[in-house]
Amino acid sequence: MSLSSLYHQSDTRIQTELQTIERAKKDPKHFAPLYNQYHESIYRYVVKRVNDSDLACDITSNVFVKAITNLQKYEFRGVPFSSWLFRIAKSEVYQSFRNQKARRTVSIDKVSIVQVFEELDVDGAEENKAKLTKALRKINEKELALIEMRYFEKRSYREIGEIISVTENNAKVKTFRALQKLKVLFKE
Amino acid sequence: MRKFLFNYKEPSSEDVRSMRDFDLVLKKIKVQRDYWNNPWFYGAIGFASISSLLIFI
Repeated sequence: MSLSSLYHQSDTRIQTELQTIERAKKDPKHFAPLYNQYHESIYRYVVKRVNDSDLACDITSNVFVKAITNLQKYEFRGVPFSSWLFRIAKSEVYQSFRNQKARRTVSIDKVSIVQVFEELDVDGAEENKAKLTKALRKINEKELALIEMRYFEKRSYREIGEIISVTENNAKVKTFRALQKLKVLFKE
Repeated sequence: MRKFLFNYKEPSSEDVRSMRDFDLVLKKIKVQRDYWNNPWFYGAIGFASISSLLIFI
């Protein structure tokens, strides 16, 4: 499975980013390069889950507002800045579900669905799509989020771990268990 | 109830880029800061606290 390459950064890039963060702590205007760098990935993360372009735009903007207002609290502990932004995005998206502004949506593209069917050892027949939908409805939100990040968004276990605040190994174990459960529910 | 979108088509990078508005982010931050720094806000809170204390006494 090919993974998203956006997350993995060189040390030089991380250092440059940290310098920008330090400048932005003093003046929010200096946050612009980080906004330009991460706006697209945050927007994509949000719109896939809320399926409403205007709302996704609004949520994305709020993610950056929160990031800037809480920037003083950000400390680099080996976790990339993008993961910190995704954590805020995750919390904002769930808030929109709680406020009933959006309905939880799972967006699966053509390529991802084929890979999921390969994992489940079945073909892409309509009947199997219906079975997959049924199984995905039955797993809990945490399990769904793991399946979504790993199989529909191609995130590495390391990144998943950083977004959900667990170790890389733990993310791997949790995702494996979620997939096993999905397989069982799929066969029911 | 979860909704499932199969064959989801990602928006193009140009479309997403056209939605960028850093000025709006800065404006929202300013509005937030102005709200918390507004003397009326603390005045009202202070008045309410003193009033409730007086009523309690």
